[in-house]
Amino acid sequence: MKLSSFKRALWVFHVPTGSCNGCDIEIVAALTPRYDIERFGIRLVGTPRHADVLLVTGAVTRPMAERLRRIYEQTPDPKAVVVVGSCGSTSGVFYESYNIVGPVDEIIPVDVYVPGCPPRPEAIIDGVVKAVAKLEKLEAGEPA
Amino acid sequence: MENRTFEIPIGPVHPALKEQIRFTFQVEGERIVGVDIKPGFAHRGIEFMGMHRNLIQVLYLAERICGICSISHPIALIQAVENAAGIEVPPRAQYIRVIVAELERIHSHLLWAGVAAHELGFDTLLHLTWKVREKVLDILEELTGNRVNYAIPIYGGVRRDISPEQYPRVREMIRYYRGLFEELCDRFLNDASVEARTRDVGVLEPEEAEELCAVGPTARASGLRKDVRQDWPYLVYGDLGVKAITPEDYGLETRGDVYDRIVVRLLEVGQSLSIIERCLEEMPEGEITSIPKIPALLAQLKKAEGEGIGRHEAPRGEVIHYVRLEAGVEAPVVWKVKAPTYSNLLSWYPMFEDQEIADIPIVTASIDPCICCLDRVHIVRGRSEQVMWKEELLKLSWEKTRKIVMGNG
Amino acid sequence: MRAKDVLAALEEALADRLRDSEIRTRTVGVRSPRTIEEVWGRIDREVLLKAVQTLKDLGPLHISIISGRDLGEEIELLYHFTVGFGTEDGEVLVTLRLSVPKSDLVVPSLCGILPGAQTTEREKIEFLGVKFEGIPDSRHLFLPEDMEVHPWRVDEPELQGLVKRKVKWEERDGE
Repeated sequence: MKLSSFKRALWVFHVPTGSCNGCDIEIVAALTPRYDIERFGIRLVGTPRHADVLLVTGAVTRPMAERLRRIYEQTPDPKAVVVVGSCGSTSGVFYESYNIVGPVDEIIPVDVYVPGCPPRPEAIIDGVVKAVAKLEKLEAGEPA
Repeated sequence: MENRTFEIPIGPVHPALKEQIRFTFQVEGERIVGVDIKPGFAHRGIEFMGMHRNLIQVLYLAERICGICSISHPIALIQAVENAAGIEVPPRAQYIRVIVAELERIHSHLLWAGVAAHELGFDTLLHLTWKVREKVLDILEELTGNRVNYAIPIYGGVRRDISPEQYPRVREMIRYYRGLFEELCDRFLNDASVEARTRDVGVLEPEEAEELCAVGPTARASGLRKDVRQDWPYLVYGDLGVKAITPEDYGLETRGDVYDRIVVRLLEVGQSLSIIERCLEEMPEGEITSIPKIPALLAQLKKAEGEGIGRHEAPRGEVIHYVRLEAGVEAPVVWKVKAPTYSNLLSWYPMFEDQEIADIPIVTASIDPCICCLDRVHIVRGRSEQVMWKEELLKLSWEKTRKIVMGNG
Repeated sequence: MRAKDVLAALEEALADRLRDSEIRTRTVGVRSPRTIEEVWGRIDREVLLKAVQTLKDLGPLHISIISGRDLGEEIELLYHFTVGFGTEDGEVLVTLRLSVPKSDLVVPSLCGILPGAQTTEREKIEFLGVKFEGIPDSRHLFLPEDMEVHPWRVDEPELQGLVKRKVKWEERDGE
């Protein structure tokens, strides 16, 4: 993968689906001065309708599954989905519970997995950059 | 004109809590006249899962109850199990647990302070506090190997020792925060617009706090000197002489509003620095765990029979775990967890009463660190539905601040 | 406040309705060791409110949580209180346990004496199916409104249907 420059600013919507907050604070940490992803034009937005990328955290609880599907549908194409954290990627420690229906890729299609419990902010940034590569391919009409 | 009441549901995505939560507000114009709270969207059934796993696995689950207080739950669980199984903890391990717990308090309170600033529209202050917060995360990473989910305590001790080379780095961090402390307090507490937005907003009277069983900084900001570290000195907190902090310690009259909650949390950062400093001085040499081998530990836990309670003062208040063990069963027969927000949930009802819609974000955040605040708001007007996203609600909050600033200047 | 005062007050108020009572102490601290005390006891549900009122008269009362367990024929509830909440080095943990038969799962609600008990009582309604008499709000709290199973009960055949088994790693290897 090679990215010379971003064609545009990337807007990200963060969907927690029953996460423990570990990943969620690392996502916010990625926005603040030490990591500062806003300098690349990557910013969190308040609604999926404005988003290019969905950052999904958490093992998907029963009531959140339907909402996650709805948020995915509300995101305009082309879009990419990044799962942040082990529990969203594989269920992690949250297995065999009556209220968990995840992992995320059994609910919506996923493009990038960022493993870690929680992943470091650098890893989250790397995951989002990988999603950019996919979006650029999609826009160019190439298969992702 | 006849007053009409509208309903505003907010949520359920609200990741600052163990539970993602939904609020339904009844409003008359701008005034909130009623609120209904429905948590449970992040309910993962952790206790149920824990009652089907062995105790070492339960420890990992406990760590992942909350990613912000990821040592508070293990400390409470481990004390409960140690009581039930009669396991001794070496003194050095107790000090190490206290050090990591206090580092966590510093990071959690700074995180919260940044979020509170964001809810008021002071993103500069958010970035400032989160920038200085990275320092304590560096130390946590240095001591435990991880920024979050430290995996430090284990039944009978801790997993990692603090080496003599690490002492100066922790002391350097203490100096760094002491140097910044006055500036931070000044930025938060002497700012006219912060004061205008938080003074007498979201008030919780001391009687209400006591009746509704509020805990942690929420209770202390209402003037109740309640702190598990002081009242029920577990680990080595009794030796360290921890005292509960209320706004009076800053020379202020206690009013139980959002401003007071900021004061209490900021002062507790300073208190945690002193606790860590004393621990480094007083910590004896010695073993860090009484049962170093995991298979031996598991075998002993499987034989154990009994019940126990463990408590800990997490950054947000009292955590309590109850565990019942039966001989021959690897999993705990009963594992009950209480997180601080669980107790503070009911405090929201009096806090929201008679507030403005624009104050919802800061009042919500005031009992608990809150990251992305409210997901979205539906305003239901008759049959037509107007959807208000989190951004718009925040915008309302920010506009209110701007109006105040303009009015002042 | 010391544990023996709390126990004496409970004994006086409840007489023989308080059974198996004991004080458990633990030594904590390294430099200046001190003891922390817990009171444990079993009561009948008929005297629950009286017991709580007795505790409340002793000083600031806080209810941490109610934990519970399905024993087959009956449900055991454990009320974890702290008496003297907020007094320096003077807090006593009080745990009162009571059993209710499954044929008559009703317990008086504490909300009248201690409004803060509501959250934990609502949780017990959905997790164990216990009914609380006089609770102002008995809707589900953590579980979805339409979920009728009680996850902590052992006699819930439908529960296993809701539990998604372990991720089958072998099947996913080829993906």
